[in-house]
Amino acid sequence: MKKITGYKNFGLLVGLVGLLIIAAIITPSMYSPSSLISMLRNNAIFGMLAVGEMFVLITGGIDISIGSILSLAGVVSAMQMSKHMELPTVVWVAVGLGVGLICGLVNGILIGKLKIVPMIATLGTMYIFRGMSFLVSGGEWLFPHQFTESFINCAAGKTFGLYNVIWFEVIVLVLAGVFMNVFTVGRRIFAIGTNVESAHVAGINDGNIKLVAYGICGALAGLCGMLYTANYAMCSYTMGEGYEMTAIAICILGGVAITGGRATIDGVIIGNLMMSVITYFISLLPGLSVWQDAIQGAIIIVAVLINVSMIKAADKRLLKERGALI
Amino acid sequence: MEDYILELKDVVKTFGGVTALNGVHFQLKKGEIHALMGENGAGKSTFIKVITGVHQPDSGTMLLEGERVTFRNTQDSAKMGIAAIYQHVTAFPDLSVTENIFMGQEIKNKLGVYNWRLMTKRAKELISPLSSEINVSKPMSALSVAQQQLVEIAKALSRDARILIMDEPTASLTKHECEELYRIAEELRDNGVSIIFITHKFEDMYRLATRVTVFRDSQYIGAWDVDKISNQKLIAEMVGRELSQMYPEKTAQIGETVLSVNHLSKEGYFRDISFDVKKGEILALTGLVGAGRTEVVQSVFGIMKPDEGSITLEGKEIKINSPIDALAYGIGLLPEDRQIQGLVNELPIYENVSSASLKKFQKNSIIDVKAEMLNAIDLCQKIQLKAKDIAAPPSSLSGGNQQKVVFAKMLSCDLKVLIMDEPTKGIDVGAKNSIYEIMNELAASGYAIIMISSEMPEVLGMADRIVVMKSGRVTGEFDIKEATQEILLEASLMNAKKEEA
Repeated sequence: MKKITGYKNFGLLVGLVGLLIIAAIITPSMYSPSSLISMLRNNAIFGMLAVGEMFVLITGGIDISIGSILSLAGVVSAMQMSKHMELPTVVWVAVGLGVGLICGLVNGILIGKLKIVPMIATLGTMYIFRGMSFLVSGGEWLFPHQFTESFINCAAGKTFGLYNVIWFEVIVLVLAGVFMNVFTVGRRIFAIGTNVESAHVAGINDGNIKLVAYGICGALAGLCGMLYTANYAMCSYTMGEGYEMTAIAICILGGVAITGGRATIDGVIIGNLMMSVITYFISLLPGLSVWQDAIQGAIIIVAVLINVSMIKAADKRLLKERGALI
Repeated sequence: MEDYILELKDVVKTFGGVTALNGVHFQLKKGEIHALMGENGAGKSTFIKVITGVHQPDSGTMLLEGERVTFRNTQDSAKMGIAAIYQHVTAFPDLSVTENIFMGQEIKNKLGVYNWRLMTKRAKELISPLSSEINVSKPMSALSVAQQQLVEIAKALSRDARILIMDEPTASLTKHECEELYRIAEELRDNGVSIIFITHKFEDMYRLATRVTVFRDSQYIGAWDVDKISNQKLIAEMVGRELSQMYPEKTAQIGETVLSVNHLSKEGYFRDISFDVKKGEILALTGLVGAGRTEVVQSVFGIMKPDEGSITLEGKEIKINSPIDALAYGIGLLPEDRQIQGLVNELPIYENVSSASLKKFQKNSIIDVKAEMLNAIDLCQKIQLKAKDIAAPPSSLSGGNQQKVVFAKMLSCDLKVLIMDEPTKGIDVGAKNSIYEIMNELAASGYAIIMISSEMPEVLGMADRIVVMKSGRVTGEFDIKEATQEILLEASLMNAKKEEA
């Protein structure tokens, strides 16, 4: 029992279970396998965006351009696909990732090398990438008949009974978890987020590490752009607007410290599930759907308040253990 | 010629126009513990950073085992076996002890994948001879300062350091923890590690060092064998003048009690704190860093909310819920960090002076700038502020003069009680003297002054009465006549819990 309650994200887990119970009582219809799977499908893209955002938040930064990166990468890969239908879909996955990576590296250079404040740098690139997306698309939309079947299947097809976009999310989560826990660069992202001065003394170049973090964030947003167009068989430069905020909200729900240095991949998974349940559950309540945004916001604030007090209590417990408190 | 493992000659380092090191020398023998002493601001910390490659000297030479070396960064010096434990522990609080030890030199394969198992094993091997209580998988923030220092030592050992530099390692340790550290330092020395030990405490020096080098005002003063120099001579070399010159004569008449703090407690910070301060009196609140002194005065000033206890001003109990209340009652706080809490660098000096007392200069909600400026000029003359232009921002001033601006800001409010948190921190010796003169004048003009200070000479030179704190409790109250450095040090290291039992 102690092992369970000692689990770092125990509070988050309790919150998630609580939400599920409330939802089960009010809207039992939510619990059909098909609706649960479609809930996961609709939120897979947010989950992957949140993973990218998490890396940036760990450095103590923020990236609000990921919605625009999603749009640009989605537009580039889908538009090109509609012109070169003969090419295999794996090319378009690579294009999405590549466009996103380039955008992310631009952010990384602005922030890590030119030392621009993250919020301002990514505010600027948010407009730039969105504008480029408009230019590339010429303001035009793509409709389902312009998509190849294999492109759509890449996200909306099923493997072992689950949508491919969910499998993408699972792979991203696993890779991110491995990267941030056993890879030197992954650990150094934490190091610069927890104390950048110490990192300098330890001979770590924080600019390079930031470049990596923003690069990953951008690449994941790019991948999401391609998957978004495939998932919905639709493409316009307006897609992904406001998605950066949902991704940040998932991170916060998942216990990622906005001040940097603290995050767990399982926290982000729980955050993503909580956000999915909240959105899906509210959409099922008759008459409440107009309140969706407001309720979502309120739940985020309550969750964070609880989380902050739990972290404080945990810190206090640590201090007490070593006898620093009187 | 003797064999020196490390030798520095004529090292000069300037920052902008400020000279931090002015042609200093240093010679470290193999396998010795060498104390480096000097007042705050003497250039010791800069010197260390030159040795480790954090700063590059403007001129001068550094010889490592007779060979000339230059370090561009800390990686360079680490490769040559030089490690430093900085004054403020440079840890990653959210990361585990293991990671803290290996950060920057992780054990990994070609792909960059951590070998957690091997790192944990090595970390345990490094830590266990130093302490049996440290769990290497706990986050660094769960450790006490002393334990964190041991981790830093383990980190240095993991790099096979031949030269270990310790910058005031005992500054915030208890007596028992100091003994542990001495033991470890001696063990390292016996294993052939040469140690540079920077300290303020004579106790450390006598206990450990065989040689001592003194810096003063960025200059090299001399080096001696520890057993061949008297304590008095050493102090004179460090301070450069007699103490009586440093601290001006007191002229204030001590009157009735102005402020009393009665049984103030705040869970986790301090417990049962009582003291009072009289008109014209300077009360020093001293103890080690982290003893809870700042938190106590912040509670008096309304920044923190105490759980229990009361505060009386001129015999009447008062409730202070915010700094605004405190100022209205006539209690002012000169914060420890003048850059962050004391000054607004975007505003001109005169607006800084009036920023806490703007109401005085308002007529129908409009600020009378002329009155504001005249007031600032008047106050700046009174405290002998050296400024070319009071419309310039405070960042154009030296540290000592910046502190004077904060003083002027406090004086512009009509106060009875002035609380000063480390009023001379980071100020050079000459400017300190003039701050002390201002403090005496303020006491003479009727202010009751509470001064937090960690510097023993300052406490002994300035205070009328001294309250010592340790771990959130008062461990002693002394009249200046009965106080000595030894008595104060003892009280500040006393174990309050034992006392109670």
